[in-house]
Amino acid sequence: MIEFLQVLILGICLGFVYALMVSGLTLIFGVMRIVNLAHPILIICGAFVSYWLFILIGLDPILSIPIAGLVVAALGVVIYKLIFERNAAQQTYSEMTVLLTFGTAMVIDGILSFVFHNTQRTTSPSYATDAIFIGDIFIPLAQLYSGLVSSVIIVGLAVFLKYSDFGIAIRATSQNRTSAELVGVNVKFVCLISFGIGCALAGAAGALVSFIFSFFPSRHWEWIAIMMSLVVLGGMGSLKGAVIGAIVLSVVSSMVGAFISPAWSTMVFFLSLFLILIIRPKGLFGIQSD
Amino acid sequence: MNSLLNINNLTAGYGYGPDIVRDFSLTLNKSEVKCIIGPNGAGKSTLLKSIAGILKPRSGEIFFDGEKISEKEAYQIMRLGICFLPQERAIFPNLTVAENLRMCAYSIKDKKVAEARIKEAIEMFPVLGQRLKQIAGTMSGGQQQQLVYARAFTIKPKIIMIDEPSLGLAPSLVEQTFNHITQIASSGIAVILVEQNAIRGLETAGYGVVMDLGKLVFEKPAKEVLQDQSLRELYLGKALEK
Ligand SMILES: Nc1ncnc2c1ncn2[C@@H]1O[C@H](COP(=O)(O)OP(=O)(O)O)[C@@H](O)[C@H]1O
Ligand SMILES: [Mg+2]
Repeated sequence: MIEFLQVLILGICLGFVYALMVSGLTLIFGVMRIVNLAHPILIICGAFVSYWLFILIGLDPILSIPIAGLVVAALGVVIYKLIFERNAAQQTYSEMTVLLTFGTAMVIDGILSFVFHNTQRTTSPSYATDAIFIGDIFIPLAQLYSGLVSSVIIVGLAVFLKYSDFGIAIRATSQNRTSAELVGVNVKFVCLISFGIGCALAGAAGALVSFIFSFFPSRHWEWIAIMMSLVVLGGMGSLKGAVIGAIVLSVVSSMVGAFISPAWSTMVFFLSLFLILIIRPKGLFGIQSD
Repeated sequence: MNSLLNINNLTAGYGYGPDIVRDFSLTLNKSEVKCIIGPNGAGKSTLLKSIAGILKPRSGEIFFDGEKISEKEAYQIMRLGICFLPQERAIFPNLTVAENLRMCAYSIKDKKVAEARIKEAIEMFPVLGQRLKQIAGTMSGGQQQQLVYARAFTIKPKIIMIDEPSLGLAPSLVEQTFNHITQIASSGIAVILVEQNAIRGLETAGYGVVMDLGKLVFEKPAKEVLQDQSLRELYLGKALEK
């Protein structure tokens, strides 16, 4: 029972981190129908920002979240201006984004690998190796903190999207661009800002990832598939879906890893991806493709 | 050049396709109501889309209040005071009614004014007030229609363009919809109406504009179009058979 609770809590913590990792991906898809395969490498960019801030000036990775977010958002805005804004009106746009973002991921991966080499890195703040006991349940602080911080950011994002005028405009744009334009929404600007927010979320996730996983530039290839399975389960474009998908799969995979075999835990993601695509391609809460 | 809206020799089309609207000119004065009629595929919707800025004109110019708008973005044109209700129901089906109303007032900078306008619209359409938390797409057709027209009273535009308001509506709803339009027109907002139910449309309008193959055929006071027997046969024939 203790072991079950422990695995459950760790699975939920990790689930929130996964949810943060995919929140930007699903937001960007929702608003612009861009399947951003470069999202994981942007997370790694964020991880590098936090890593170097920690190494060079000793800044705690949780505190460097805003900086990592801003740096990656700026990078994202440049990418958006360079390759997406021009193509936004074309008919084959949605399909083309897969190729464009794949190419972008390769380029950033190439640059990072060249500059930093593919050695494993981890940020090691003091709490990274610490843990607390709640009763008999053992909880590593790194997982606990990263889960809590992720959930706070996700709630903040949800509140912004639900209640602010700009947030409602973002949701309106993701439903129907033309209708949004016709009530006076500057859709181009909304797209640019949404892309920036999506990338900022990737950067923020990167800061957390930097101390709970070890990372290296090419690791993003492995994450793409996992992240896709999370958003496909929840439904592309739905934040609620992404969070539920992330937590469910994270818990299931932790359970499988703990009680069956660690070798099978990653399989959970791919198996789920496979099954969902066969049974309900739209996911649990997905938007219809148009 | 003193009219509210001047369309000069407008030509428009889609992608690399042929011209759909061809050398079309029209003016609209303050508080005027003009009904555009013409066969399916004549280019009426295309005309409205190019005025609204959703479709960029190929050539020609459009002036609103003396200001050239034919190169502006759709959201800018809307903010100047031209509201377009396209053929597809112009609401956000997955947003709540309250959120839809907030989006209607999105272009109003002053938050207090925006809230007051939303209140006004709710007073006008009490059904919406009772359903603020409901997802708009789950309301009945008639209620959704009220949400569409609430926009006109929220933003108080100078011109409102309505594309086929009665298309696909039950007869009772058609009546309701035309009441909304009459109400809008009597509040001093100029209206461009495109309507396949030509007689009903012309009864609402001051002028009838006949369009065919992308061109203006003629423009006359609506009463004359309705009374002229040969015109009735030519352009209202189908509507009469119904
Ligand atoms: N989005 C579009 N892309 C290409 N052609 C279109 C599009 N919409 C309309 N058309 C074409 O433009 C012509 C006029 O259409 P439309 O303006 O909708 O006519 P109306 O509203 O008078 O029935 C039609 O031949 C139609 O096929
Ligand atoms: Mg039409």
